[in-house]
Amino acid sequence: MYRKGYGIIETLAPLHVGATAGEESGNLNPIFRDSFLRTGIIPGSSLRGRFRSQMRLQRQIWLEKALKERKIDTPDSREIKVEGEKEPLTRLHWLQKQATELKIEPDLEIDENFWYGKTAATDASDTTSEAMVKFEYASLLWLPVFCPGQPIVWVSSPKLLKRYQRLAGESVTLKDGKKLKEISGSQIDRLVYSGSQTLKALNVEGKKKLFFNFGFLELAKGMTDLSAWFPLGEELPAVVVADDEIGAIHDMALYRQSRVRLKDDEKRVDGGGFFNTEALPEGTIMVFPVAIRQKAPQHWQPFGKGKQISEIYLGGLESIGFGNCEITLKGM
Amino acid sequence: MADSDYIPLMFQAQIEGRSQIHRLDPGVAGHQQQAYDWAQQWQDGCDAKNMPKFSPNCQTKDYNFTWRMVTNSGQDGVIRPVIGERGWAYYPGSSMKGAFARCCTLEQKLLYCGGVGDDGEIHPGILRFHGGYPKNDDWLDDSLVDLIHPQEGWQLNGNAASRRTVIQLSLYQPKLTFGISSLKPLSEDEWQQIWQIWEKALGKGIGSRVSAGYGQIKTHGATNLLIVGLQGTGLASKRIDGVAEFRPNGFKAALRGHTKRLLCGVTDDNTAEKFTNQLWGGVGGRNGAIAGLLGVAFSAPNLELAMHRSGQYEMPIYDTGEAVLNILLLNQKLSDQVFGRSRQLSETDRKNLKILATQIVKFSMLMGGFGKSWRRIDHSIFFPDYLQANQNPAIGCHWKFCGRNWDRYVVPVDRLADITAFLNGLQTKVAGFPLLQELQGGNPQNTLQEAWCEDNVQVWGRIAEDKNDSLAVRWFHGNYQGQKSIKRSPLTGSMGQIGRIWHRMYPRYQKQGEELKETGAFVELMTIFPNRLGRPEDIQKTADFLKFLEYSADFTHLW
Repeated sequence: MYRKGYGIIETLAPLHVGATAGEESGNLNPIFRDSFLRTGIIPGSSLRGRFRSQMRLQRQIWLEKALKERKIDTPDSREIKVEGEKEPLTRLHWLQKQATELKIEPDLEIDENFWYGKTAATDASDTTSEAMVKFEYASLLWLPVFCPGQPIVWVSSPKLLKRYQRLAGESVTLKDGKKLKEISGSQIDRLVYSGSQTLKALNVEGKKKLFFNFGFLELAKGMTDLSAWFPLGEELPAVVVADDEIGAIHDMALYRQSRVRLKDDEKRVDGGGFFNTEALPEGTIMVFPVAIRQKAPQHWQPFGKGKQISEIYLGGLESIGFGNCEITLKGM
Repeated sequence: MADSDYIPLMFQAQIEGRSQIHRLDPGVAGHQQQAYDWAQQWQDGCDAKNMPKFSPNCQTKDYNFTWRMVTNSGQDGVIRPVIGERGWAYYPGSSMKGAFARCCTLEQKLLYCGGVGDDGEIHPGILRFHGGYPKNDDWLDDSLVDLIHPQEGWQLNGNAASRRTVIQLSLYQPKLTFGISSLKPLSEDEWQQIWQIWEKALGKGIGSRVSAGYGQIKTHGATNLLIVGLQGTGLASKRIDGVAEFRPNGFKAALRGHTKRLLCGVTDDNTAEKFTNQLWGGVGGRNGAIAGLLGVAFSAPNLELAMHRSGQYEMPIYDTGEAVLNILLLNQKLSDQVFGRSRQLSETDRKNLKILATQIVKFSMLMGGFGKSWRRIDHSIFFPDYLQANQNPAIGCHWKFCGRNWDRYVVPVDRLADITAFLNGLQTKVAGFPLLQELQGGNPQNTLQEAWCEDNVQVWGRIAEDKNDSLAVRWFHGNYQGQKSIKRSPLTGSMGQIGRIWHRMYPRYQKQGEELKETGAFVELMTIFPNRLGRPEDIQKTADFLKFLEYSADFTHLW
């Protein structure tokens, strides 16, 4: 029924995907969290929306080029809305209309409505279509924790590792030739409190320890080869902690800004303009599954032909440098 | 040791005995202050080798900061820089966007930063502001530990209780790389325009405490109100760990202090306080902070620091070389806390402010100097014997004008009466300053020790032929007549007690036709605030000294 693949996200800047007002409205803008571990996630709908807009842009560029080749005058590229017959059209709609009249159609490869589902027209709710590509939420795989006095440590927990295993188990081959999926659940559970080979822990009275905000964590299991669990190749300084601990450590790792809004015309706090924002820090590694319907007539190539890696913006606060990510698609 | 003692300071409670890094503990040696442990822990944890990278489709530019820079993170009970990727200090993209937007025209702001468009809906701007990271890891050392040392009450009124020192952490002379990217491809010209707007924002200073010289680059563009070429020598400040540092916030302190002295001489204390805050800024009371109109920035590319050693004394000294002091107009708005209503500055207001700032600079340079030990002349220039023959500490400072436009700030002295004329004119100008008039203050109350009122201060002067001809400097270190001495009296001051005399060797410039000429001579000036309170014998001592000046010496009573 479906072909399965997965994507790896590495954040290159803080990533904020969350509600500005919602379950916790007010001046706290939290990120979305997984309901079991309380660790950050990116909802599948956000991923789909981003992929859709990426492809929509490709289609728009294609349409502009195609119309230009037919010597059709297109409106100024800065205009978002364009004169229509009755009411203003979006630029894309305008281009589309011209193209339909001339009977030119872009390749399915760049038709976002085909891949991600057709949205309903306002007056006809039955005009939607099922998407060819389906996304599930992205979960954490490794989260970097900065703490003064000790090296930066990437943390994960068995539950997060198991989700990665479920998504990538078939396609990752271990050093001994086995597949990732062959590692048993109890083996993963036993990784708790072991560090990667590259980790240099603190020496607290002869014991290898790391500080997290609930106190010291002793690396009771010592160092293990964790390289299989790093999808981007490099075995980072890392530690696996228990599922009931990662939520608290996650809170310590988040990039948090307590911010004030200043007045427009004077460098002074605008009354009441105080708010907090949190974001996943740079260097976070996340994973999400992708399913493609078997009947899809073509390959899904959202970044262009043959490209499996792309920089993409996710989440909010783009204009202040948040959301820059690198996505690597695997197993497509 | 318990585990808890190994907890990084950032995660310890800010209570007595745990982590109070903003506190300067007087019982602890300089570099053993907890703030240094904190900095060390930051240093150890930071991935110093790998500067955070901007993505390749990001435009970047580097800027050098002339002194310190800090963007308060609002955490840990101490003012410290924001910590970004892998432990690197960071100037946030949100702050960058805010500073940028304030330098845009309305049209530019809508295009670049976003906002509500003609259709009444919010549209995003086309630019992304990625913030700034230090270019290299030079900043990661002990220079992070910085002092805040408010002493207005001490300097103006001898109020020792008002002196306190707290620690903050700031970046020392960092070089920051800023990144901006665009959603749409832009032309080379447009990028140039964008960076120009960013430079305009930098010219106003970024981060906190910009009016005191923090977060400033060398150029200031339209923010410049005055550009004053200066060269100074004197006694440098020390960091807590004893390392020498020239601290440009001394300029603001001096100018602000003089502003208040002058205002207290022409209006009541409350009005003087309010108006000083309007000019130089004030921290919030119940009605919120007052954003000051004026600020300073100082750039001394050839600054040299050295050590003065004599006997048991070892103290840092500076020579700024040819340097530039900028008085900046940081704000375009009068505060409603001061004027009852807030309004934009008019063109006339700006002109008047420029005149007032020029007068305050003239006054500061005529009567004293800047920075540490500004009430005394630089002994290494005017009394070198004192430093060579004895085992004595360095004292004082000496400032002169240099560069272009110096003649704008000089008070030419053909006759000593020119100084009297200047001081009279100054007081009239301050009293008649239109914005001050709007406040309709009362009469001077004369409660401030150094209020600039006729019955509170005396200025005495003489012409000194050259640098070896300072008479008064010897009176501070010996007898002025027979057995009579003011040495170590409340008049001259001592450790823990502010003196009541300023002593200045002002370079004598004379008008020759239309031109001003430096003559190589000096005007020796003594500014005295006679004690009105204190022990009778101290008051008598001052009276004796003033009588001596009147009858015996070749000093003239100028004001």
